[in-house]
Amino acid sequence: MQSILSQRQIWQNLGGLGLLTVLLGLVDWQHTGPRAVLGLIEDLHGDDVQAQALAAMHLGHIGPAARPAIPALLTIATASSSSYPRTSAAGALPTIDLSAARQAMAVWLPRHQDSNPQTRRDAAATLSALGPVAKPAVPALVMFLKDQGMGTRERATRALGSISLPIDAIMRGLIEALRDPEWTVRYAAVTQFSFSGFSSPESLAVLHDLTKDSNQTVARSAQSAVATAERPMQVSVYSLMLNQGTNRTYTLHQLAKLGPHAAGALSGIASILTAEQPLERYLAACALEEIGLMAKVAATALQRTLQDTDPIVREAAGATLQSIENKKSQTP
Amino acid sequence: MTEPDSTHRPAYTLIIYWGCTLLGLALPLLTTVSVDMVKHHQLFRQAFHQLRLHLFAPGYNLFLIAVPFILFAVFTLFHLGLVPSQDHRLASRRRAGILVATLGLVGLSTWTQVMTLWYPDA
Repeated sequence: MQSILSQRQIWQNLGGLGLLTVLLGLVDWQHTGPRAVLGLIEDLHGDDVQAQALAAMHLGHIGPAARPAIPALLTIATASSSSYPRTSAAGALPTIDLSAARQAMAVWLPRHQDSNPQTRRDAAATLSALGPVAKPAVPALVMFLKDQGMGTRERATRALGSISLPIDAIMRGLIEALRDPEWTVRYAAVTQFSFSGFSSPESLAVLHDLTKDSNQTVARSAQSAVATAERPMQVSVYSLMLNQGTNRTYTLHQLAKLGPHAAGALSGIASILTAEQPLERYLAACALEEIGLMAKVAATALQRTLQDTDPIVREAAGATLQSIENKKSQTP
Repeated sequence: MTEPDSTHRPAYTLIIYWGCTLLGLALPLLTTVSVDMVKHHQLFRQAFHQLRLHLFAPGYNLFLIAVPFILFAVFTLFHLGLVPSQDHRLASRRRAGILVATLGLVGLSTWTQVMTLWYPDA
């Protein structure tokens, strides 16, 4: 019996749909991944700050293949007067090139002593955007916590949470911020414990006190932080995430925050020392340093990492080996 | 009773098929531009510029919203297209069903997208 559409008509229309899908796929392919880099560099050179910020984020997503964009990104990260493109460019650099991220850090670091409070706030915000690669900036950021300006102290607190390494110095800074007279700074510190996985017996005691804070926003966030500390995420969950390979940067960062408690994921972390992404290798070396003496089983892998192609990864591996040696010599 | 002209039936099926496909692709773009113009009081040129910036940005998979529309369009092609041309009763029942489903799909998708974009943080 004859149907409304013949078999041939159905297949012709399905073919048309297939053709349209292929066409859209091609357009998408052309505008994403390494192919998009040149167009995104043009956006970075434009006047539109939103286009600059989005282009920077896109380049950060592309990763090391976006290397041709480093000079433009560095210019924006170090010289742009607008916060959005500046922090976006700074945030993109670590996934593209660790050394370039350190260059941006080196430009902003001396500005923590600038007489202009806006420059000090910008410095804290940009260092925050750089994330864990700005680890050498932590002592300066701890100094920011004594700044006269409330905005600088608040941004410095958020920056400490974003960098989060080395964990001992970060915890001392965050606990200091929890005791800040200004509620916005206390709130910025409390949120690091509510959402970012930081926890220690000392911080828990301060957070318990803050549940009775005169500011209700701080008090409620402190209650949430205490509840989070009482049911921490299991290391096995992070191990599983590492094995699955999804968002390894985040997982390694979280494991590093756990310090010696992350020893359960040691073999998974050590295996990432040979990963393709320099940021992942860097974070793996940092996480091993935070684990401490127990990470000595990964010494051979760390020794090999001393020959890594990336100087920042080599530096992190050397620091980790040195830290393990120091702890060995202190252990009777 | 006069039967409808059977030559109109393939056209109806194909209009629903290609209409759903193209509307699925265009709806996120149209809602984004419309919300920018109405909520953020932007000119069409500015709203279109915003759309262009976000079109291929990470995390903005606007074309993925078309997937249910395309699946529905393929279903429609077979569901209406394979009805025997002499069975007018079955054909009209299926046409009515598909029309209601199409309006429901378009309405639900438009409402979800507008509400998402209208949210204060969006």
